[in-house]
Amino acid sequence: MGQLYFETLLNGVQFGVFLFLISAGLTLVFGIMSMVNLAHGSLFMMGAYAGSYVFQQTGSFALAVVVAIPFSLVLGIVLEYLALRTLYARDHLDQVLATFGLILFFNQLVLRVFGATSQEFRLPDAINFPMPLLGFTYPSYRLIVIAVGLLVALGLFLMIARTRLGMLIRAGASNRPMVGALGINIQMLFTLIFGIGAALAGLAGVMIGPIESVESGMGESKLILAFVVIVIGGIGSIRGAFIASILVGLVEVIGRVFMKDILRTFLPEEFAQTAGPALASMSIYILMAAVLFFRPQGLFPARTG
Amino acid sequence: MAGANVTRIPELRRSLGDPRFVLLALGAVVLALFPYFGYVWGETYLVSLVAKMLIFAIAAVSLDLILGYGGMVSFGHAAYIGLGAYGVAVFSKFGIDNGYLQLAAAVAGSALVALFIGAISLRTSGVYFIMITLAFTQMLYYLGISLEPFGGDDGMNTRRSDFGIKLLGLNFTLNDNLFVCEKRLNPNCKVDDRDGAAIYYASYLALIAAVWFCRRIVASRFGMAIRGAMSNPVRMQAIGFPIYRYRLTAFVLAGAICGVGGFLFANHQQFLSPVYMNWLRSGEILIMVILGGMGTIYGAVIGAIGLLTLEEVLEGYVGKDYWQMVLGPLLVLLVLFANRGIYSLIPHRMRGVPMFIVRIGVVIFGFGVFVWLMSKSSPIMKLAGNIPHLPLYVIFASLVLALALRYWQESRARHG
Amino acid sequence: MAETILAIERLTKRFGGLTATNDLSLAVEKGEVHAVIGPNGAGKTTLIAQLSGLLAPDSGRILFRGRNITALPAHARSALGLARSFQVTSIFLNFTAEDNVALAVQAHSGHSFRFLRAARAEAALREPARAALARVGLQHRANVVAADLSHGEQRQLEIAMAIATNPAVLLLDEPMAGMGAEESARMIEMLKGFKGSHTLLLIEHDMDAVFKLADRITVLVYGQAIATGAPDAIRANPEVRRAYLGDEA
Repeated sequence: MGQLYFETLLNGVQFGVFLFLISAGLTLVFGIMSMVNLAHGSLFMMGAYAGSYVFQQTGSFALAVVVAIPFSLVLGIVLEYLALRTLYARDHLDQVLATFGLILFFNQLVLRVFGATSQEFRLPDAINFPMPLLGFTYPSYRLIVIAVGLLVALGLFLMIARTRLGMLIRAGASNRPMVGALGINIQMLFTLIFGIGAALAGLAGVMIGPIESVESGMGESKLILAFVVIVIGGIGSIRGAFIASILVGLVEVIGRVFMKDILRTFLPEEFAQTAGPALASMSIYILMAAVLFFRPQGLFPARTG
Repeated sequence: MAGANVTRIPELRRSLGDPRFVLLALGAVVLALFPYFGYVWGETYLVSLVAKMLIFAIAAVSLDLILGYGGMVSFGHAAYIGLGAYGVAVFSKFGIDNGYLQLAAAVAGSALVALFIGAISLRTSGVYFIMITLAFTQMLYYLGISLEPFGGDDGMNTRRSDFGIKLLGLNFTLNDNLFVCEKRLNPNCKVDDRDGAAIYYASYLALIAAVWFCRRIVASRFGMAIRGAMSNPVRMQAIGFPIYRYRLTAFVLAGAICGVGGFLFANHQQFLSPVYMNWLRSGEILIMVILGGMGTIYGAVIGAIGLLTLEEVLEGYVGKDYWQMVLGPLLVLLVLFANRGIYSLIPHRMRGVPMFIVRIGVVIFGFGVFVWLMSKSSPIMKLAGNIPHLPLYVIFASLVLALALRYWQESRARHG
Repeated sequence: MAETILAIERLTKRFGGLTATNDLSLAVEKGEVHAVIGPNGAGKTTLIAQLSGLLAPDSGRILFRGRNITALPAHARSALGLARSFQVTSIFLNFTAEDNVALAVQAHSGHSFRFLRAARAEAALREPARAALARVGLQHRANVVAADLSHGEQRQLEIAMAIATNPAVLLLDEPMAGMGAEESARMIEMLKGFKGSHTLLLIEHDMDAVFKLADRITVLVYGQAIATGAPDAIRANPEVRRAYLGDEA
């Protein structure tokens, strides 16, 4: 039983860290550029596809990762240049619709080029084995994912807190027009931020690809979760995104595994059986509703006024 | 918030001097007579298709009420189509076909859920609101998937609602063997003529009622309150309107009207599936309203018919594999260049009509050429032999072209 | 005996380290034009925000006709007869001038849960709207979309919306903001016409207008009232001269 608890807890953290990789880019883009980008899930998907393609051609997971990240970066920049740049000035509705169109496009694209079956993408045994940890065992690869995620989080925190770029990001998140007025090349800042977000999403895609299925439409479910995360965490806040992703990750995973058991303690068996999965799938939305009820701006809103 | 741009479309004049009135009146007449001709020509599939358009028009009209007039960008409106359908399913599962009960359940259920979702969502605004409505609809979708009694992911068949009315030889009481539905959504379809007309006319009348009702609402005191709240919420509070309650009421009304659409849809498809509620469908309804022209009610009808027609044409000619790939970029273009919608393009004076017809002709011609080039019988195909993924290359070529054009445009702006 | 219609008692509002309103007490008499002047950052707009209900004070009370309205939300105060205009024009840009004012009237004539009757046909809404427009001199522009009005006309519309419901007290936040000399003169004449029928609490930078209109003036510096009295007394007050007017006034 202890093994189950241990695994579930770590799975929750791993899922949270993975959500953070996707949400970080989203919250930055929304916080700084005030742009809703539904196609962020597609960037995640394209990262996974790029990785799986490289893997299928070369058999090397490492190469897949090495290629997928710059690929996502470039894809993000091209997308920004071609289609998204004109949307900065538009209202959110226009942004939602246009990026929605992009989702349709990318989903169909991979469907056409790669077909409907999920892509072959496997991990080398060298990094995927049950690793003994604290008296239990846990898949080593998931530990690697957690480690990578935490490293990225640390890197982002340091960048935002210590570097000039980070300072510009913080300034832009709380007062965008001022940053432009200060003479900073806003367009390059935007493109850079967008690229970073895209690269992170691609990294998430290539890392998660082997342990989930790489198929058309895989981005959307993650995208919604990412939006829930940034709404809970507060738009524009990396710190908020991190805390919220861990929270959401834990709630989601623990809910899925233990909801039936939790309900069993005070409800009859048949109810627990049917309500269990239903409630589990709704749990993070209930969390979101609860957070927003008390703090409509999220937990750590970047804009203070 | 949406609606910041000041749309100044002249009000519809109920006279033959206003082309829009003529067009809408003509459209209403054509739609009323359509099933007759449809059956005479043996195009029963078309009748079913147009009925589907009418049903989605109801959903679009209800969304326009809160989007175009209230500025509430709800990305979760498809939920009410689903809930309306569940209203039918709940009774159908136990063998109760009573249409009145089912309709009441559909409307009440949608209204209650809209009340709950609206009460929470309307405490936020802007993109938070969009995301929360999106999240709620996903929540309902997942709930639907996990409900085994209703077929979960696979959905379940439903039976037609029985209103106990026999009218003009059209059988409004139905039994299992007689229905018209779409194979794409319900694999168990069997095709029959007459009852398709029942669904068609029920949808048609419901749409007329919905349009009439919504037009009255937006001109009423309530409508003014909603529109004021969209235009300047701070000022509204300052002059004495508690806007939360009016917005919530509008949200509930929209949900209830959409629930009627859901009820009709379940009848149309003879099938219930949680997929009716997912966010991609919500997005589609949103597109219908924008495409047609938001803030006009009539635009929503035009948009619903327009988008579904577009999807059919694309699917038919470009092939079921590529049509969404074309639709996607078309959407982006729509948003970038034509976001006032079709309704605003229709001239409001007779003298603007010839130019309008020319423009429509050009657009249709251009679109037709594009679709033909992308289709299986295109000359590019013949010239290049049997290249797999040919439309893909066409799309990529256009993307590169677009990139080059952007670059050229920008450098002109820099040196111009 | 002058009756106090609006009493502000020891109002305090802090934003972090900044005290915008500092233990402020002020009594506005019924029927008077009471001007509040002071240098930028003195807390004038914060005061109006607290009076109209958009901002909650940290401590102190606001009494309107003897009734404590400190906890009442904005729309409730408006219903009681306390109307305000905005410093930055805040009207309904996509409605016509008449629709704008009719909305203000609608806010005060019962609930708006009426779904079927056309609002534009309701005389109970349109008549007072037209009357208010006439009072500010905009009757000939009634059917012009607000976005198409000139800046001065928009400011007039602001006032029309505030008086449309015949409020007892009008809170006017820099009504002459951004206006040229001619438009200002017209506005001053119009405001003079409100004397007696309404009580005005006026924030203004335009000293010319203030001295022409005000019955009494309060000078606000750093959130505190340093002097209250008739215009001449204020002009002569040495503290006021030092803080604000400068010695040439």
